[in-house]
Amino acid sequence: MATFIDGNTSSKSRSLHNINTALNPNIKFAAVDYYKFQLLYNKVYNKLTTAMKYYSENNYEELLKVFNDNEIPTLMTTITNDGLYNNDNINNLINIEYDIKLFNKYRTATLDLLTGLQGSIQIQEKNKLLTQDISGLKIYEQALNTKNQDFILTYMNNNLNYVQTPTDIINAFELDIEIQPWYMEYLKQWGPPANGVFDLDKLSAIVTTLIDTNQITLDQFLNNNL
Amino acid sequence: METEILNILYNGSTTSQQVTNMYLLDDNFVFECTPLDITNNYDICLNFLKYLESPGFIDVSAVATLDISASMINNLFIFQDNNTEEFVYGINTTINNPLKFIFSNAKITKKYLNNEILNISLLDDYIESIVETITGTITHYPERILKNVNSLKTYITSLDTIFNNKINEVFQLYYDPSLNDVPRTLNINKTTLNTMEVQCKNLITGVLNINKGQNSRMTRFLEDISGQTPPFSFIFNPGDKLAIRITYNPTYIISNYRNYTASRSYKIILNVLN
Repeated sequence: MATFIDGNTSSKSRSLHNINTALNPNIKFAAVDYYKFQLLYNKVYNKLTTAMKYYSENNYEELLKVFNDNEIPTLMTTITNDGLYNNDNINNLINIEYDIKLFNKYRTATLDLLTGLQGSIQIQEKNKLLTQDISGLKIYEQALNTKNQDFILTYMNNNLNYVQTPTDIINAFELDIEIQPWYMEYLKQWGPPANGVFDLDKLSAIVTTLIDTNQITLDQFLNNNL
Repeated sequence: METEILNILYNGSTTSQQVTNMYLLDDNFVFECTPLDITNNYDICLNFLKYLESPGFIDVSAVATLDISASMINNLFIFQDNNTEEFVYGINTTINNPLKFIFSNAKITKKYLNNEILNISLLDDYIESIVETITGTITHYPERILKNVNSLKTYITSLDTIFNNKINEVFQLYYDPSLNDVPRTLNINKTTLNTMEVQCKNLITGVLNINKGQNSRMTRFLEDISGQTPPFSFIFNPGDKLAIRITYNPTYIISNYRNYTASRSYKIILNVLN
């Protein structure tokens, strides 16, 4: 049997069955919907407002206790579980207590939601600024990791009133290196010789192959090794 | 030909860091351009040793010498007395007379496995170092392993200009603009010295303390300024040596193989001939 409850100790219960639903059949549907909202509040909103409160206060330690990987699926299931809101008790308004403060609770929860959204916007703005900062820092990180000394020296000159002395001049550049084909093949097959001396057996086999496959001529090899 | 890994000294100046950054060799000084000092092998007065405590350049890959004319660097280090009879020091700009050192022509003495000692150019030494970096092979004939030695030499030679530009930028940054005044003067009211002005002070202080023998470096220094009107230019004499450190930081790109990063530094001793 459905009863009213207003949260006060003096609250009284009365039967909804006394309402003449025949005069306004929508009243029963409204009552059913009310209890669905009540159930939704008690099962979900109550926890969300608590989470939102912690979020607004940047109290992430407590937030994670009520809003974590374990709780989120439970909440989602509770929200989407039609059976929970369409059971016989609700549909027949049996064993249900009316909470007179439910509207105020929703209103308070909505305010908490707004506060949380405001906090979210502020965090988003901070994130934007941090993203900009990180983009700027990445330039320096890249310069340091790639040893871009020209960049580093320019920065030091412009910002730290530092200049390299003419006695310590650094220059960075790239060089395209071309290796004689027989040594190139040696490096590919065997890697650099451990002691800096190429193994002649391996080298001669490579030269023979290169000549046999017309990739080099004997003269070409001899002219570069005499 | 395989060689020992030896980068031979320049008359006692080694690839290792010098204890001090100014020292005497064959009665001539080597000034490693920042705070001055000398080696322990020479008789230098104590206050000099106390005053100049900075070490020389950090370790380098090789020491190279480049003969230059004194006129190229004579007008760089300037000084004059101020109203309190103390010296003030200044650096001149090179904008009207840019320094143009041909670093790639600097000479390096190398000893090979067969004990043969060769004087090779910095350029040749650098090309040999490329081979050593890639294959570990120390050879006097890098063209046997590298196909594009000539183009590499052309590029390395072109870097001389970049090094010179950087050097000239430093002098432009630190010069005393009062030298443009009429009459020419240093800013005698300056209370602090910039990095290069400190080097100027150390150079002159160092020379004033090389007072050994009748024709000491100090004596010649005083003679040099006796014919000048303030502000005075430091005049380099034959045998004086001004050291510069340059570093190449290349990435070697070998198509279809891999890349190498390498760094090779040289202490360039600018040897004043005349």
